[in-house]
Amino acid sequence: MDCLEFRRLLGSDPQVGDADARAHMATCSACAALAADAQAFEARLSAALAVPVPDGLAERILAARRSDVVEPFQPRRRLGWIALAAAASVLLAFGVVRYRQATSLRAMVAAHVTAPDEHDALAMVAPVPQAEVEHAFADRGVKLADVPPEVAYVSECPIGRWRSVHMVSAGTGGPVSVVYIVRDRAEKASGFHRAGLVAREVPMADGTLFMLAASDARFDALEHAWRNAIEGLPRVASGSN
Amino acid sequence: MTEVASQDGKPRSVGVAGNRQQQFEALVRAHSGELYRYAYWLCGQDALAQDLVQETFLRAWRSLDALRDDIAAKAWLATILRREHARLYERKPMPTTDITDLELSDDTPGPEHRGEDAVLRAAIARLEPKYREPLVLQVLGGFSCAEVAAQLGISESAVMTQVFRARQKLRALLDGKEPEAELHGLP
Repeated sequence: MDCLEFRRLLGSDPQVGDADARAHMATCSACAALAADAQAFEARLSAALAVPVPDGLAERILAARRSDVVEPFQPRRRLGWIALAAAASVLLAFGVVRYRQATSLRAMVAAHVTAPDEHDALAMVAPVPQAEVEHAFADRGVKLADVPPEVAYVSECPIGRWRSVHMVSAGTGGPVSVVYIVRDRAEKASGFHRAGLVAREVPMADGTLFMLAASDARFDALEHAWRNAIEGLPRVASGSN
Repeated sequence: MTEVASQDGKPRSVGVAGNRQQQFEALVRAHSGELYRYAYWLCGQDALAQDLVQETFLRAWRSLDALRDDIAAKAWLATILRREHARLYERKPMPTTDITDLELSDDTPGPEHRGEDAVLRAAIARLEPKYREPLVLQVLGGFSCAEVAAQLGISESAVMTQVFRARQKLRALLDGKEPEAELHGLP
Protein backbone atom coordinates (compact mmCIF):
# COMPACT_ATOMS: atom_id res chain seq x y z
CA MET A 1 0.00 0.00 0.00
CA ASP A 2 1.41 3.40 -0.95
CA CYS A 3 0.72 6.80 0.62
CA LEU A 4 -2.02 7.65 -1.88
CA GLU A 5 -3.92 4.44 -1.22
CA PHE A 6 -3.47 4.86 2.51
CA ARG A 7 -4.79 8.39 2.53
CA ARG A 8 -7.78 7.49 0.44
CA LEU A 9 -8.58 4.72 2.87
CA LEU A 10 -8.03 7.05 5.79
CA GLY A 11 -10.54 9.51 4.38
CA SER A 12 -13.26 6.90 4.01
CA ASP A 13 -12.55 4.97 7.20
CA PRO A 14 -10.25 6.66 9.72
CA GLN A 15 -10.30 3.63 12.00
CA VAL A 16 -7.73 1.96 9.71
CA GLY A 17 -8.56 -1.62 10.53
CA ASP A 18 -6.96 -2.91 7.36
CA ALA A 19 -3.74 -4.90 7.93
CA ASP A 20 -2.01 -3.42 4.88
CA ALA A 21 -2.87 0.07 6.09
CA ARG A 22 -1.46 -0.65 9.51
CA ALA A 23 1.71 -2.00 7.96
CA HIS A 24 2.07 1.15 5.88
CA MET A 25 1.48 3.34 8.88
CA ALA A 26 4.26 1.57 10.75
CA THR A 27 6.74 2.51 8.04
CA CYS A 28 5.55 6.01 7.11
CA SER A 29 5.68 8.64 9.81
CA ALA A 30 3.85 11.22 7.69
CA CYS A 31 0.88 8.93 7.16
CA ALA A 32 0.97 7.87 10.80
CA ALA A 33 0.70 11.51 11.82
CA LEU A 34 -2.20 12.02 9.42
CA ALA A 35 -3.91 8.96 10.85
CA ALA A 36 -3.59 10.32 14.37
CA ASP A 37 -5.04 13.61 13.25
CA ALA A 38 -7.88 11.89 11.39
CA GLN A 39 -8.75 9.78 14.39
CA ALA A 40 -8.82 12.82 16.64
CA PHE A 41 -11.19 14.49 14.20
CA GLU A 42 -13.26 11.31 14.11
CA ALA A 43 -13.71 11.39 17.87
CA ARG A 44 -14.86 14.98 17.64
CA LEU A 45 -17.20 14.11 14.77
CA SER A 46 -18.69 11.22 16.68
CA ALA A 47 -19.36 13.43 19.69
CA ALA A 48 -20.92 16.13 17.54
CA LEU A 49 -23.29 13.70 15.83
CA ALA A 50 -24.48 12.39 19.17
CA VAL A 51 -27.10 15.07 19.72
CA PRO A 52 -28.92 14.80 23.05
CA VAL A 53 -31.78 12.32 23.01
CA PRO A 54 -35.01 13.79 24.40
CA ASP A 55 -35.84 12.63 27.88
CA GLY A 56 -38.46 9.92 28.05
CA LEU A 57 -38.38 9.10 24.35
CA ALA A 58 -38.44 5.34 24.85
CA GLU A 59 -41.30 5.59 27.35
CA ARG A 60 -43.35 7.71 24.97
CA ILE A 61 -42.82 5.22 22.16
CA LEU A 62 -43.92 2.36 24.38
CA ALA A 63 -46.94 4.34 25.57
CA ALA A 64 -47.81 5.21 21.99
CA ARG A 65 -47.78 1.58 20.96
CA ARG A 66 -50.08 0.69 23.81
CA SER A 67 -52.55 3.43 22.96
CA ASP A 68 -52.12 3.72 19.24
CA VAL A 69 -51.91 0.38 17.55
CA VAL A 70 -54.35 -2.43 17.12
CA GLU A 71 -53.02 -5.89 17.66
CA PRO A 72 -51.39 -7.37 14.59
CA PHE A 73 -53.39 -9.53 12.33
CA GLN A 74 -53.37 -13.08 13.62
CA PRO A 75 -53.98 -15.75 10.99
CA ARG A 76 -56.64 -18.21 11.97
CA ARG A 77 -55.56 -21.73 11.36
CA ARG A 78 -58.77 -23.22 10.11
CA LEU A 79 -59.82 -20.57 7.65
CA GLY A 80 -59.95 -22.54 4.47
CA TRP A 81 -62.42 -20.63 2.41
CA ILE A 82 -60.77 -18.86 -0.44
CA ALA A 83 -63.47 -16.25 -0.63
CA LEU A 84 -63.14 -15.45 3.02
CA ALA A 85 -59.38 -15.26 2.73
CA ALA A 86 -59.65 -12.93 -0.23
CA ALA A 87 -62.08 -10.72 1.65
CA ALA A 88 -59.78 -10.68 4.65
CA SER A 89 -56.87 -9.69 2.44
CA VAL A 90 -58.81 -6.78 1.01
CA LEU A 91 -59.88 -5.64 4.45
CA LEU A 92 -56.38 -6.03 5.78
CA ALA A 93 -54.91 -4.09 2.89
CA PHE A 94 -57.46 -1.36 3.40
CA GLY A 95 -56.75 -1.36 7.10
CA VAL A 96 -53.01 -1.05 6.57
CA VAL A 97 -53.46 1.79 4.12
CA ARG A 98 -55.84 3.52 6.49
CA TYR A 99 -53.49 2.94 9.41
CA ARG A 100 -50.57 4.39 7.50
CA GLN A 101 -52.56 7.45 6.53
CA ALA A 102 -53.73 7.95 10.09
CA THR A 103 -50.32 7.59 11.69
CA SER A 104 -48.59 9.83 9.18
CA LEU A 105 -51.29 12.47 9.59
CA ARG A 106 -50.82 12.38 13.35
CA ALA A 107 -47.08 12.72 12.90
CA MET A 108 -47.43 15.62 10.52
CA VAL A 109 -49.97 17.48 12.63
CA ALA A 110 -47.72 17.13 15.67
CA ALA A 111 -44.67 18.19 13.69
CA HIS A 112 -46.55 21.18 12.35
CA VAL A 113 -47.81 22.54 15.67
CA THR A 114 -44.41 22.08 17.31
CA ALA A 115 -42.37 23.52 14.44
CA PRO A 116 -40.16 26.45 15.46
CA ASP A 117 -42.05 28.89 13.28
CA GLU A 118 -45.27 28.02 15.11
CA HIS A 119 -43.94 28.64 18.60
CA ASP A 120 -45.12 32.23 18.66
CA ALA A 121 -48.70 31.07 18.13
CA LEU A 122 -48.68 29.23 21.44
CA ALA A 123 -47.85 32.44 23.29
CA MET A 124 -50.84 34.35 21.93
CA VAL A 125 -53.66 35.01 24.36
CA ALA A 126 -55.74 37.82 22.85
CA PRO A 127 -58.79 36.39 21.08
CA VAL A 128 -58.87 36.83 17.32
CA PRO A 129 -62.08 38.26 15.85
CA GLN A 130 -64.73 35.63 15.29
CA ALA A 131 -64.96 36.71 11.67
CA GLU A 132 -61.37 35.62 11.07
CA VAL A 133 -62.10 32.16 12.38
CA GLU A 134 -65.27 31.92 10.31
CA HIS A 135 -63.38 33.13 7.25
CA ALA A 136 -60.62 30.54 7.69
CA PHE A 137 -63.16 27.73 7.88
CA ALA A 138 -65.19 29.15 5.02
CA ASP A 139 -62.07 29.10 2.85
CA ARG A 140 -61.86 25.41 3.62
CA GLY A 141 -65.51 24.95 2.71
CA VAL A 142 -66.82 24.66 6.25
CA LYS A 143 -69.55 26.96 7.57
CA LEU A 144 -69.40 27.31 11.32
CA ALA A 145 -72.55 27.45 13.40
CA ASP A 146 -70.66 29.16 16.15
CA VAL A 147 -67.12 30.17 17.08
CA PRO A 148 -65.83 28.79 20.35
CA PRO A 149 -64.22 31.37 22.61
CA GLU A 150 -60.53 31.78 23.37
CA VAL A 151 -59.24 31.26 19.84
CA ALA A 152 -56.01 33.24 20.00
CA TYR A 153 -54.53 32.18 16.68
CA VAL A 154 -55.96 30.96 13.41
CA SER A 155 -54.26 30.10 10.15
CA GLU A 156 -55.13 28.08 7.06
CA CYS A 157 -52.08 25.87 7.16
CA PRO A 158 -51.37 23.16 4.62
CA ILE A 159 -50.17 20.05 6.40
CA GLY A 160 -48.67 17.81 3.78
CA ARG A 161 -51.43 16.98 1.33
CA TRP A 162 -54.11 17.83 3.86
CA ARG A 163 -55.99 21.12 4.12
CA SER A 164 -56.37 22.37 7.64
CA VAL A 165 -57.34 25.20 9.89
CA HIS A 166 -54.74 25.53 12.60
CA MET A 167 -55.74 27.33 15.78
CA VAL A 168 -54.49 27.89 19.28
CA SER A 169 -57.03 27.97 22.07
CA ALA A 170 -55.75 30.05 24.96
CA GLY A 171 -57.15 29.63 28.41
CA THR A 172 -56.43 28.57 31.93
CA GLY A 173 -54.48 25.36 31.96
CA GLY A 174 -52.27 26.35 29.05
CA PRO A 175 -52.67 26.65 25.31
CA VAL A 176 -54.14 23.88 23.22
CA SER A 177 -53.26 23.51 19.56
CA VAL A 178 -56.45 22.73 17.65
CA VAL A 179 -56.19 21.57 14.06
CA TYR A 180 -59.18 20.77 11.90
CA ILE A 181 -58.35 18.58 8.90
CA VAL A 182 -60.88 18.98 6.13
CA ARG A 183 -62.30 16.01 4.25
CA ASP A 184 -60.34 13.30 6.01
CA ARG A 185 -62.48 11.83 8.72
CA ALA A 186 -60.87 9.58 11.34
CA GLU A 187 -62.66 6.31 11.88
CA LYS A 188 -63.01 6.90 15.59
CA ALA A 189 -61.90 9.18 18.39
CA SER A 190 -58.62 8.21 19.98
CA GLY A 191 -55.84 9.58 22.09
CA PHE A 192 -52.16 9.41 21.33
CA HIS A 193 -48.83 10.92 22.27
CA ARG A 194 -46.55 12.80 19.92
CA ALA A 195 -43.55 15.06 20.35
CA GLY A 196 -43.95 15.18 24.09
CA LEU A 197 -47.59 16.22 23.86
CA VAL A 198 -50.80 14.46 24.70
CA ALA A 199 -53.18 14.52 21.78
CA ARG A 200 -56.65 13.49 20.73
CA GLU A 201 -58.19 13.08 17.30
CA VAL A 202 -61.94 13.21 16.88
CA PRO A 203 -63.98 12.57 13.74
CA MET A 204 -66.09 15.64 13.20
CA ALA A 205 -68.40 16.24 10.25
CA ASP A 206 -66.39 15.38 7.13
CA GLY A 207 -63.05 15.94 8.77
CA THR A 208 -61.00 15.33 11.89
CA LEU A 209 -60.33 17.63 14.81
CA PHE A 210 -56.93 17.29 16.47
CA MET A 211 -56.13 18.71 19.90
CA LEU A 212 -52.57 18.73 21.21
CA ALA A 213 -51.31 20.13 24.50
CA ALA A 214 -49.19 19.45 27.52
CA SER A 215 -52.32 18.22 29.28
CA ASP A 216 -55.67 16.88 28.09
CA ALA A 217 -57.56 18.77 30.81
CA ARG A 218 -59.37 21.01 28.33
CA PHE A 219 -59.93 18.44 25.59
CA ASP A 220 -63.47 17.45 26.58
CA ALA A 221 -64.70 21.03 26.70
CA LEU A 222 -63.00 21.93 23.45
CA GLU A 223 -64.30 18.84 21.69
CA HIS A 224 -67.83 19.72 22.78
CA ALA A 225 -67.48 23.34 21.69
CA TRP A 226 -66.01 22.51 18.31
CA ARG A 227 -68.54 19.78 17.63
CA ASN A 228 -71.30 22.31 18.17
CA ALA A 229 -69.50 24.78 15.93
CA ILE A 230 -68.68 22.42 13.08
CA GLU A 231 -71.61 20.04 13.12
CA GLY A 232 -74.25 22.55 14.02
CA LEU A 233 -74.98 23.54 10.41
CA PRO A 234 -74.56 22.02 6.96
CA ARG A 235 -70.88 22.14 6.41
CA VAL A 236 -69.20 21.72 3.07
CA ALA A 237 -70.16 24.19 0.44
CA SER A 238 -69.91 23.27 -3.20
CA GLY A 239 -66.95 24.63 -5.13
CA SER A 240 -64.87 25.15 -2.05
CA ASN A 241 -61.12 24.54 -1.99
CA MET B 1 -25.91 1.56 18.36
CA THR B 2 -26.34 -0.67 21.34
CA GLU B 3 -27.34 -4.22 20.77
CA VAL B 4 -30.02 -5.88 22.78
CA ALA B 5 -28.30 -7.78 25.55
CA SER B 6 -29.34 -10.37 28.04
CA GLN B 7 -28.59 -10.09 31.72
CA ASP B 8 -25.21 -11.73 31.21
CA GLY B 9 -24.35 -9.00 28.77
CA LYS B 10 -24.19 -11.28 25.74
CA PRO B 11 -26.28 -10.61 22.66
CA ARG B 12 -29.35 -12.74 22.55
CA SER B 13 -31.72 -13.71 19.85
CA VAL B 14 -34.75 -11.62 20.69
CA GLY B 15 -36.60 -13.09 17.75
CA VAL B 16 -37.15 -16.30 19.64
CA ALA B 17 -36.69 -15.32 23.26
CA GLY B 18 -39.35 -13.78 25.37
CA ASN B 19 -42.73 -12.66 24.21
CA ARG B 20 -43.52 -10.12 21.60
CA GLN B 21 -44.01 -7.22 23.99
CA GLN B 22 -40.75 -7.87 25.78
CA GLN B 23 -38.94 -8.12 22.49
CA PHE B 24 -40.42 -4.83 21.36
CA GLU B 25 -39.60 -3.09 24.61
CA ALA B 26 -36.02 -4.31 24.46
CA LEU B 27 -35.70 -3.00 20.91
CA VAL B 28 -37.10 0.39 21.86
CA ARG B 29 -34.82 0.75 24.84
CA ALA B 30 -31.76 -0.41 22.93
CA HIS B 31 -32.22 1.54 19.72
CA SER B 32 -34.52 4.53 20.18
CA GLY B 33 -31.71 6.89 21.13
CA GLU B 34 -29.51 6.16 18.16
CA LEU B 35 -32.49 6.09 15.83
CA TYR B 36 -33.50 9.52 17.10
CA ARG B 37 -30.04 10.84 16.29
CA TYR B 38 -30.17 9.31 12.84
CA ALA B 39 -33.64 10.78 12.29
CA TYR B 40 -32.49 14.13 13.55
CA TRP B 41 -29.66 14.30 11.03
CA LEU B 42 -32.05 13.21 8.30
CA CYS B 43 -34.70 15.85 8.89
CA GLY B 44 -33.10 18.50 11.09
CA GLN B 45 -36.15 18.92 13.32
CA ASP B 46 -36.40 17.69 16.87
CA ALA B 47 -40.16 17.09 16.92
CA LEU B 48 -40.23 15.47 13.51
CA ALA B 49 -37.27 13.29 14.41
CA GLN B 50 -39.15 12.05 17.47
CA ASP B 51 -42.17 11.31 15.32
CA LEU B 52 -40.08 9.47 12.79
CA VAL B 53 -38.66 7.27 15.51
CA GLN B 54 -42.11 6.64 16.92
CA GLU B 55 -43.51 5.77 13.50
CA THR B 56 -40.53 3.53 12.88
CA PHE B 57 -41.19 1.53 16.00
CA LEU B 58 -44.92 1.35 15.36
CA ARG B 59 -44.17 -0.13 11.97
CA ALA B 60 -41.55 -2.39 13.48
CA TRP B 61 -44.13 -3.67 15.95
CA ARG B 62 -46.39 -4.75 13.14
CA SER B 63 -43.56 -6.58 11.40
CA LEU B 64 -41.77 -7.87 14.43
CA ASP B 65 -42.13 -11.48 13.40
CA ALA B 66 -39.90 -10.73 10.41
CA LEU B 67 -37.00 -9.93 12.71
CA ARG B 68 -35.06 -13.11 13.35
CA ASP B 69 -32.13 -11.85 15.37
CA ASP B 70 -31.10 -8.69 17.11
CA ILE B 71 -27.88 -8.43 15.14
CA ALA B 72 -29.99 -7.40 12.17
CA ALA B 73 -32.25 -5.14 14.22
CA LYS B 74 -30.19 -2.00 13.88
CA ALA B 75 -30.04 -2.11 10.10
CA TRP B 76 -33.68 -3.19 9.90
CA LEU B 77 -34.87 -0.28 12.03
CA ALA B 78 -32.67 2.18 10.16
CA THR B 79 -34.16 1.00 6.89
CA ILE B 80 -37.71 1.45 8.20
CA LEU B 81 -36.83 4.92 9.41
CA ARG B 82 -35.30 5.91 6.08
CA ARG B 83 -38.41 4.78 4.26
CA GLU B 84 -40.69 6.56 6.68
CA HIS B 85 -38.68 9.74 6.27
CA ALA B 86 -38.84 9.42 2.49
CA ARG B 87 -42.59 8.85 2.65
CA LEU B 88 -43.18 11.94 4.78
CA TYR B 89 -40.76 13.89 2.66
CA GLU B 90 -42.83 13.08 -0.42
CA ARG B 91 -45.88 14.56 1.24
CA LYS B 92 -44.24 17.50 2.88
CA PRO B 93 -40.97 18.54 1.34
CA MET B 94 -38.82 19.77 4.17
CA PRO B 95 -36.94 22.88 3.20
CA THR B 96 -33.22 22.35 3.43
CA THR B 97 -33.04 25.64 5.27
CA ASP B 98 -34.53 23.90 8.29
CA ILE B 99 -31.26 22.15 8.82
CA THR B 100 -28.88 24.59 7.25
CA ASP B 101 -30.05 27.71 9.04
CA LEU B 102 -29.31 26.44 12.49
CA GLU B 103 -28.06 29.76 13.69
CA LEU B 104 -31.48 31.29 13.16
CA SER B 105 -32.90 29.57 16.21
CA ASP B 106 -32.85 31.79 19.21
CA ASP B 107 -34.55 31.18 22.52
CA THR B 108 -35.58 27.63 21.83
CA PRO B 109 -32.39 25.92 20.80
CA GLY B 110 -32.63 22.46 19.32
CA PRO B 111 -30.32 19.57 20.04
CA GLU B 112 -27.79 20.93 17.57
CA HIS B 113 -27.22 23.89 19.85
CA ARG B 114 -26.84 21.99 23.06
CA GLY B 115 -23.66 20.44 24.32
CA GLU B 116 -20.25 20.88 22.88
CA ASP B 117 -19.04 21.57 19.39
CA ALA B 118 -22.07 23.38 18.01
CA VAL B 119 -19.84 24.68 15.25
CA LEU B 120 -19.12 21.20 13.99
CA ARG B 121 -22.80 20.31 14.22
CA ALA B 122 -23.69 23.33 12.16
CA ALA B 123 -21.12 22.25 9.60
CA ILE B 124 -22.56 18.73 9.51
CA ALA B 125 -26.00 20.20 9.00
CA ARG B 126 -24.73 22.16 6.03
CA LEU B 127 -23.57 19.04 4.25
CA GLU B 128 -25.69 17.91 1.37
CA PRO B 129 -27.81 14.91 2.32
CA LYS B 130 -25.91 12.64 -0.06
CA TYR B 131 -22.78 13.27 2.01
CA ARG B 132 -24.38 13.60 5.43
CA GLU B 133 -26.44 10.43 5.42
CA PRO B 134 -23.69 7.88 4.71
CA LEU B 135 -21.43 9.69 7.14
CA VAL B 136 -24.05 9.50 9.88
CA LEU B 137 -24.67 5.82 9.19
CA GLN B 138 -20.95 5.10 9.32
CA VAL B 139 -19.96 7.18 12.32
CA LEU B 140 -23.12 7.11 14.39
CA GLY B 141 -24.50 3.75 13.33
CA GLY B 142 -21.18 2.00 13.18
CA PHE B 143 -21.96 0.48 9.81
CA SER B 144 -19.16 -0.47 7.44
CA CYS B 145 -19.04 1.09 3.99
CA ALA B 146 -20.42 -2.16 2.56
CA GLU B 147 -23.32 -2.07 5.03
CA VAL B 148 -24.02 1.57 4.32
CA ALA B 149 -23.99 0.75 0.62
CA ALA B 150 -26.57 -1.97 1.20
CA GLN B 151 -28.74 0.42 3.21
CA LEU B 152 -28.63 3.17 0.65
CA GLY B 153 -28.76 0.98 -2.42
CA ILE B 154 -25.56 2.34 -3.89
CA SER B 155 -22.13 0.85 -4.50
CA GLU B 156 -19.52 0.49 -1.80
CA SER B 157 -17.09 2.60 -3.79
CA ALA B 158 -19.69 5.36 -3.99
CA VAL B 159 -20.10 5.26 -0.22
CA MET B 160 -16.35 5.43 0.26
CA THR B 161 -16.20 8.46 -2.00
CA GLN B 162 -19.10 10.17 -0.25
CA VAL B 163 -17.83 9.71 3.28
CA PHE B 164 -14.36 10.77 2.14
CA ARG B 165 -15.76 13.93 0.61
CA ALA B 166 -18.03 14.50 3.60
CA ARG B 167 -15.03 14.63 5.90
CA GLN B 168 -13.18 16.77 3.40
CA LYS B 169 -16.03 19.26 3.29
CA LEU B 170 -16.40 19.33 7.06
CA ARG B 171 -12.74 20.10 7.51
CA ALA B 172 -12.97 22.80 4.91
CA LEU B 173 -16.07 24.32 6.49
CA LEU B 174 -14.42 24.35 9.89
CA ASP B 175 -11.29 25.92 8.45
CA GLY B 176 -13.32 28.51 6.59
CA LYS B 177 -12.10 27.24 3.25
CA GLU B 178 -13.96 26.17 0.19
CA PRO B 179 -15.15 22.59 0.52
CA GLU B 180 -13.16 21.68 -2.56
CA ALA B 181 -9.96 22.41 -0.70
CA GLU B 182 -7.72 19.41 -0.79
CA LEU B 183 -6.97 17.42 2.28
CA HIS B 184 -3.76 15.58 2.81
CA GLY B 185 -2.68 16.57 -0.67
CA LEU B 186 -5.31 14.39 -2.31
CA PRO B 187 -7.82 15.39 -4.96
